[in-house]
Amino acid sequence: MAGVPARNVAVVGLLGTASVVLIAVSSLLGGVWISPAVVFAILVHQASAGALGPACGPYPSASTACTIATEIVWDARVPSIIVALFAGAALALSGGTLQGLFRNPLADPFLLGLSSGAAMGTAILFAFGIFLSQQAVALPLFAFAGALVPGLVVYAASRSSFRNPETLVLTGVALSSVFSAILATFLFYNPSGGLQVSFWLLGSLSNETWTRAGILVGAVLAIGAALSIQGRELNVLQLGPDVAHSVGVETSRVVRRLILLTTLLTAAAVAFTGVIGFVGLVSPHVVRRLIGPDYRRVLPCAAVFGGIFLLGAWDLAQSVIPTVVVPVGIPTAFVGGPSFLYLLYRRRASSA
Amino acid sequence: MHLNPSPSAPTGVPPTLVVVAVLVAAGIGTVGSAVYFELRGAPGATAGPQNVTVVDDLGRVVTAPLNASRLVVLAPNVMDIVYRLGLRDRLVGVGCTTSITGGFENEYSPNQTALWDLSPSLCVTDYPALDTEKVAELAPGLVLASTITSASDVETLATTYHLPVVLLAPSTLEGIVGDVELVARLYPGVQPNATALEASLQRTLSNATAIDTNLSTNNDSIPSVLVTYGFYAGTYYTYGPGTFGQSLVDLAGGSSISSGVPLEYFGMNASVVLWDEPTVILYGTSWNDPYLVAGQTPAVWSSNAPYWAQLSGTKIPLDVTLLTETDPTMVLSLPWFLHYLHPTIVPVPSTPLP
Repeated sequence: MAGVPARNVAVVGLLGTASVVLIAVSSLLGGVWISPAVVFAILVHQASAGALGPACGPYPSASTACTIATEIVWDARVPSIIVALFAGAALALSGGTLQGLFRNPLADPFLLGLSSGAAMGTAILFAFGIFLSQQAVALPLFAFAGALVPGLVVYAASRSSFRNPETLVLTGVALSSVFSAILATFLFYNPSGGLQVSFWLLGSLSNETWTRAGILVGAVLAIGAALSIQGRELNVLQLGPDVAHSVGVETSRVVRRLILLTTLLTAAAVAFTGVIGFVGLVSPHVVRRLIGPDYRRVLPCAAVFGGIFLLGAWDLAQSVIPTVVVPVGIPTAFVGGPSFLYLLYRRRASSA
Repeated sequence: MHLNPSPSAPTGVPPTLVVVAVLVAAGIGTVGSAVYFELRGAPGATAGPQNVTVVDDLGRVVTAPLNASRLVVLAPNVMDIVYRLGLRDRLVGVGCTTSITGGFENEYSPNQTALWDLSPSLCVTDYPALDTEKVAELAPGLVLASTITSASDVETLATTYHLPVVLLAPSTLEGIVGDVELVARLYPGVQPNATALEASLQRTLSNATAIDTNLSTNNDSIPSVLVTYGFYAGTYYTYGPGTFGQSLVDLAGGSSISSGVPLEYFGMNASVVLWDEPTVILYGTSWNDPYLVAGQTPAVWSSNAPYWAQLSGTKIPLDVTLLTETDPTMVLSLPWFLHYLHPTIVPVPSTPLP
């Protein structure tokens, strides 16, 4: 048993180091090459509210190049990095929670139909051309509201006599189909905005601002903290509802609470980034292999890993053709799919 | 009571019903054949000296009747040629999109709808697939389409309904002139109009080339240009090499900031646009183009487009069809592109923007 904490410390150290390295690399990546010296100077100067160092290193402070470089690094790249870390954390946390809640290794944040609901919300916005002048605010609001609809229906079901976990999962699957059909109907009869909805469905981090990052960070910290401390309940739920009940866990109440929290957390992430697959599915599995099945450790570590995974995918998306924005959902699927298969078959091989 | 059914009792579908069904089916088949025969016998579809064989823009060899009186047009760029050549009165159907919010007007601007005298009664739904039966029912002597009509729909019209379908899909600005000539071969009666239009287009292209050469010779500064038809999430949708959007900029003596990207249509990182500081930004606005982006008015651009306020270049809104529809209007807008890119050298054109 003495080796377990040491391993956990090593894993936490590894995740922390990877985060720092990746954040540093990410600040250098984008459509425009800005030298590391300039990027470092901008970060230090802005983070210290102008107290430390020159504004742009070698660039004259009052030059147009300095102004634009600051816009790009501080007002675009840094918010994108923050959103990637926190959206990835939210998705991984939701995925890990739902995997534990439904004791289903294939569960991901979109199991309950949230992605279809959010997509329907955005499709309404574009298909009917409403609030087009206020897209920056309207788009996340419509996506958030759309994602809440199936989540809250499942939550309502969990309060009724139909609260069997399998019934809840199947309710989510059915709702997902219904919302997908509504989305398809909107796009079929009105292709206007189809391009934007398609782009949104693949996820993006290219439009982040400090305001958006601030809202997401607040939501993820608040809801994520509440979810992260549910590890003990999730551990007990793995033993079955009868055992859980016998040790004092009110199963139905825990299920309702977890569904509500994962719905809010996933909806918050989706509202700002669009639908990004694989992060919520893969991250908890990877972390479980590293530190074991204890949800008290799996959930926070999965959150950190999810952030790293999404940020790494975003870096990859920006590196294919730097001038062109590739939706971040593409690299997450390209990297996540094969990695997941490798883990799956390696585990099967080792247990055979 | 039913323990010993008669061996002759029917155990499945009564034979009488089968006979009736066969007769009904034969009747329907006869009716269908009658319609089909009538369509095949439509004016202009008969073989003979009144036909002409042409090679369309996709290299298809098509034999079509000369001066077909019933014409179906399945693309807005073709409609522009048809109207300019004076063939509007032959029109019996036009490709259009039906939608929840936009209806017929979705695919054509209000100006085009009024100018070309289009009405919903002419609509042959073309989204997401063409209503080929509706086209066949119109019994056209000729169908003019572009590549927005799917290959399978073209095949259906040509082989199932035996309709001559000519595709106008030019790959260069000069190809647009060729399309005018192609339509004139199908309608010799409009040759004078076609000759005048071709001359006008050639003159416009030659003038633009001459001015472009002159600017280069005089070492006038070449403006950097962003041509964009939409934006989303920190990107500007733009045109890469080999597209008409880029050809227009090249011919108008500009340098597109997206010329180095090996893609035709893509979302350009907005920070690149900010960094490159294009001198001129030509941005597409639309009434509601279904194939592009909904309702992009200048107000929508200025309130949502990334870094819009920080971009200091001259921002010029353009009807997005000027950038997308490969028709004579696109060529005739070149003098305006020259003026937009070189306002101090090229004066405001005497003719209004088409």
